[in-house]
Amino acid sequence: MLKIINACKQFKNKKALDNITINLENGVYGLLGPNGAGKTTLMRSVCGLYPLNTGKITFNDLDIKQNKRLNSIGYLPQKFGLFNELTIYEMMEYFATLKHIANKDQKNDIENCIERVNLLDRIHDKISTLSGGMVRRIGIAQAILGNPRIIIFDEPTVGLDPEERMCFKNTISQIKEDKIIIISTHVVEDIEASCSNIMIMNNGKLIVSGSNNYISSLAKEKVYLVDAENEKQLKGDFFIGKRTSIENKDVIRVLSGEKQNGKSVKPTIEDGYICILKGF
Amino acid sequence: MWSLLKKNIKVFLRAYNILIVTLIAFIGFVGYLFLEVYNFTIHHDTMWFLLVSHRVSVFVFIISIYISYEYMIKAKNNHLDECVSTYSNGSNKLYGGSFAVLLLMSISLFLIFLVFNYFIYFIGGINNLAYAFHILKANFINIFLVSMLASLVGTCIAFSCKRFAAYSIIALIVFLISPISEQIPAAIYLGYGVDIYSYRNFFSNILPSNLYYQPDFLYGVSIEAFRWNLVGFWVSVSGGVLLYRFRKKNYQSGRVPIVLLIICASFNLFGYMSGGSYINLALSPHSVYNHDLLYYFNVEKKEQVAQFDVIGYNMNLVINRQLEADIEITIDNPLYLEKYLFTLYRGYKVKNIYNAEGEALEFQRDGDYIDIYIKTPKAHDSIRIIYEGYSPMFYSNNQGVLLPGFFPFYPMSGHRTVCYTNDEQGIYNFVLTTDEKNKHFEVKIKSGLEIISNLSTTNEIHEGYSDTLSLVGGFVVKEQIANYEVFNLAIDDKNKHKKENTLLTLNDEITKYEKMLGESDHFDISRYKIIQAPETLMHRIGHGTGRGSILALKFSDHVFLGLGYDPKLIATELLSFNIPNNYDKYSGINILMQYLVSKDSFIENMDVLQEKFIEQIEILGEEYVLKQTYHFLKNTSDTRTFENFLAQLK
Repeated sequence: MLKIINACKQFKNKKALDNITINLENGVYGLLGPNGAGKTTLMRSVCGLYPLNTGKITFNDLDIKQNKRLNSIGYLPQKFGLFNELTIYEMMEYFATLKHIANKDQKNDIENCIERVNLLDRIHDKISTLSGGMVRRIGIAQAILGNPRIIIFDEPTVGLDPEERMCFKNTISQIKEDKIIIISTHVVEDIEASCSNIMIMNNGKLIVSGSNNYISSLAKEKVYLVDAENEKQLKGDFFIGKRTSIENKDVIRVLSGEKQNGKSVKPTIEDGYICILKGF
Repeated sequence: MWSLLKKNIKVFLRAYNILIVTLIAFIGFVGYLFLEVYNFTIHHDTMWFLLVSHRVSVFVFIISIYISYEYMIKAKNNHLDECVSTYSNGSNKLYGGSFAVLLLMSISLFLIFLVFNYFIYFIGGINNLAYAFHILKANFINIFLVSMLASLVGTCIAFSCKRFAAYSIIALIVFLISPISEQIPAAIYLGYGVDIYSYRNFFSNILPSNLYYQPDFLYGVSIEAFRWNLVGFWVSVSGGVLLYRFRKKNYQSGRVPIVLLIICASFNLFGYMSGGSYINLALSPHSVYNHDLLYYFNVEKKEQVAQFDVIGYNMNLVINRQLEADIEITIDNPLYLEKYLFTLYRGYKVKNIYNAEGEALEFQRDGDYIDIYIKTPKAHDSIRIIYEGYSPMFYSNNQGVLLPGFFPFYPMSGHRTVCYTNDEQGIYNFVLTTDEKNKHFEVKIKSGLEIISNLSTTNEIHEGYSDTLSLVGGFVVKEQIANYEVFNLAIDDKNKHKKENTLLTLNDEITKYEKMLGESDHFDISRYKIIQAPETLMHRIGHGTGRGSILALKFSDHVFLGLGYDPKLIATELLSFNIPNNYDKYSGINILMQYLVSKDSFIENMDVLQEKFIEQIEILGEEYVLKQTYHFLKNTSDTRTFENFLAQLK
C-alpha cells in the first residue's frame, strides 16, 4: 500500500502540496486537476524527487527513498526525450542497465515492454527516425521496464494520436495487475476507461477522491442539454460544455447548481470534475 | 558499468558534430606530434620536444570545452534526468556515465602525448628517472588536467546557459587563458604603468607558460606547485558548481562532496596565493628579463666595504616553494660597531635579526641592503638573520635550484652592487665576482631535490671553506666526462659529444691564451668542481650584458661552464676572472676577449675603439699590445680609461 501522510511541500511562498493524506491500494488512479494544482509536485514527491517539508510517503511501510533504491518505481515525466543517436533497443538497454536489470534478463524484458507499446517492428530503428508519439511510447516502455510496483505517468498521452492513446489504454489494462498506477492528466477522457479511481487536486489540496461512479455522481442533477437559442436564459452560475447538434438542433451541455430549462442528462466523470472545480 | 559506458561512447561517436571535431582534433594532435618527432631528428633536443608538444595545450582546452559542452547538452536537453532520477542512483549514473566518456577522452589525449614524449625520451637516450617522472607530471598537468578542467567547465556551462550565452562564455574563457590575452596587460602596463598581470595570471597560468623560450635543462618545463594549486582550484570550483547544481535538482546528492570540494578549493587558492619561485619569461614586469632591469636602472647602487670580516656561516635552508633561510653569521670583529652592513637580494624578505644572545636587533632594509643597528656598546661575534623569498632569475623551489656564488642569496658583508647598469650602453649585468676571503660554511638543506654545492657533502650537510657558496638542484647528475668529474645537466642530450670536446680542448686553449697574455698563474681546471651552466646562467643573465652570454663563472673552488660551447669562448671568459671587477674597464675586457676568440670576425665589424686597438697591434706588435692590455686591465692602481690607455700605449 502506498501511503501519503500529511504531505506538505512549499516553494518559496507557494504551497504546492497542502497537507495531503491518502492511501492507495493496487489499482489504476487518475489524478486530475487544473494547471498549477500540484499534480506534478505530488507525482515527483511520490517518486522521491522532491523532499517533503512535512509529512511522509511510504510504500509497504518503507520510506519512498528506500523504495527508490529498490527500483520499485517507474516514472514517465511530462518532458521526456531520448538519445537520438541510439536505437530503441540500445536505449532500452541503457535504461535496463540503469535499473540494474540482470544482463541475462534484459533482452526478454526489453522486447516485452516494447511489444506492449507496439514498437517491436521498429526496435532496431534509431530514435532520431521516430515521431514524438513513438518517443512517448518508449517513455511508457521504460517506465514499465523491470516490472516496478508503482508506476507514475505524468501527462502520458501528450502528443499521442488517437490510435496511440488507445494503445496506451490497452497497455495500462495489461500491466495493472499487482501494481499501483497513477496517471496524472487534465484530459479526463484518457482516464475514464483506464482508471478505477480518481483523485482531484486544486491549489495544492486533494479535494476529492473516489471511484469513477462517485466522481460522476457529484454532478448528478447538475447537467443539462439546453437549446443553444436559450443560452441567454440560463440562470445562476453555470458552465457551458460541449456544443453539439441533435436532430438538426444546436444544443449546449450546461453544468449548473441551479435547475435549468433543459433536459437533465446522466453525468460523466468530466462533469463531476468540473462541478467540483466550479463549486456547483 | 561497462555496458553503460559503451552506450555513452556510442552516443558520443554517433553525434556527428562531436565525432567530426574529435577526429579532426586527434588527427591534428597526432600529426603535429609526428611533425615534431621529425624536427627532433634534426635538433635532438628531448626537452624541447616536451615543450613544443605542450604548445597545443590551448587547443586541448578548446577542443575539450567544446566537446564537453556539446555532449553534455544532449544529456540535459533530452530531459532524461527527471526520468532516471527515480532509479537507484539514476541521475548520478546518467551524468557520471556521460562524464566518464569525457574522462576517457582526456585520458586518451594524455596517453597520446605521453607516449610520444616517452618515445622521444627513449630514442634521445636519456637515462634519468627524475626526468621520466617530470615528463609524466608535465603531461598530467598540461594535457590531462587541462582537458579535465575544460570538460568540467564545459559541463557547467551546458547545465547553466543557453547556447549563445554558453559560447560567449566559452570564447571569453579561452581568451583569458590563452597567450593572446597577454597583450592586454602588456599594453596597459606600457601605456599607463598599471600592472594587472596578477589578475590575468589567475586564468593564464592554467596553461603551461614559457613554451616559446629555450628551456632550462636544470629546471625542466613549468610545473611548479602554484600551477598545480591553480588548476586544482579551478577543478574544485567547477566540480563544486556541478555538484551544487545537481544537488538542487536531486536532494539525495550529498553535501559532503561539495564541502570537501570547497575545502579543496580554499586550500589550493591559499597555495596559489602563497606564490613562490618560478621562471617567468613573459612580457610581465615581474619576468626574469624585466624584474631586475626595471629596478636596477632606477635605483642608486651602494658600495661600502664592511668594517668587519665574516669568517663563517651556519645555514639552515629549506627549499620548497621558495628559499627559507635561518643563517648564523660568525664575525671576526673585536670592536664595537654601531652598524653592521650586509647585502641580501631584495626578493628575500627579512623576518628577524638576532644577536648571539637571541636578542632581536633593529635593522633597516633598503632594497638589497640591510643595516643592522647595535644599541648596546659591545662587539658582536655572531648575528642571526632569518628570511625567505626568491629571485625571478635565480630560482629556488621544488623543481630546481640555481643559486650561484656571486648572487647574494645569503647575507654578504658590506654594501655591494648586485647589478651594474650603464644607461649609455643600455646594459645591466649582475656582478659575477666575489672578492671575499675564504670562510667556513656549514649548510644544512631540506629540499625535495638533491642539492649540489661547491662544498663537500655528507647527508644533508654541506661543509667546507670557500670564498662563496653555490647551490644547484634539478636534473643534474655527477658524471665522468673526458676524465673530469662533472655535474652534468642530464637532459642536455644534444650536446653530449660537444661537452666532451669542450673539456678535452679547454686546458690547451687556456694555456695558449695565458701564454699570449703573459699570465704566469696557470689556471688548472682539474682543481675545480665543474658544474655545467644551465640556460638561465648562460643566456638569461648574459641577456643584458652586451656580450649576450656568459659561458664561464669562476670561484675559488668551483666553476660553472657552458659545456658544449666553443672552448675558446669559455677559456677567455675564465681568464677574464683574473681581471678585478672594474666597469670603467669593461669595454677593454670585451675588446681583448673578442680579439682572442676570433681575430677575423673582430676585424670585420669594428667600432672606433676597436680600430684603435688594431692600429696599435699593427704598430707595436700583437704580443706586446695583448700583454700590455692584460696587464693594464689587471692593474687596479691604473685608473686610466681604456681609451686613454690605448692612446698612451707605446
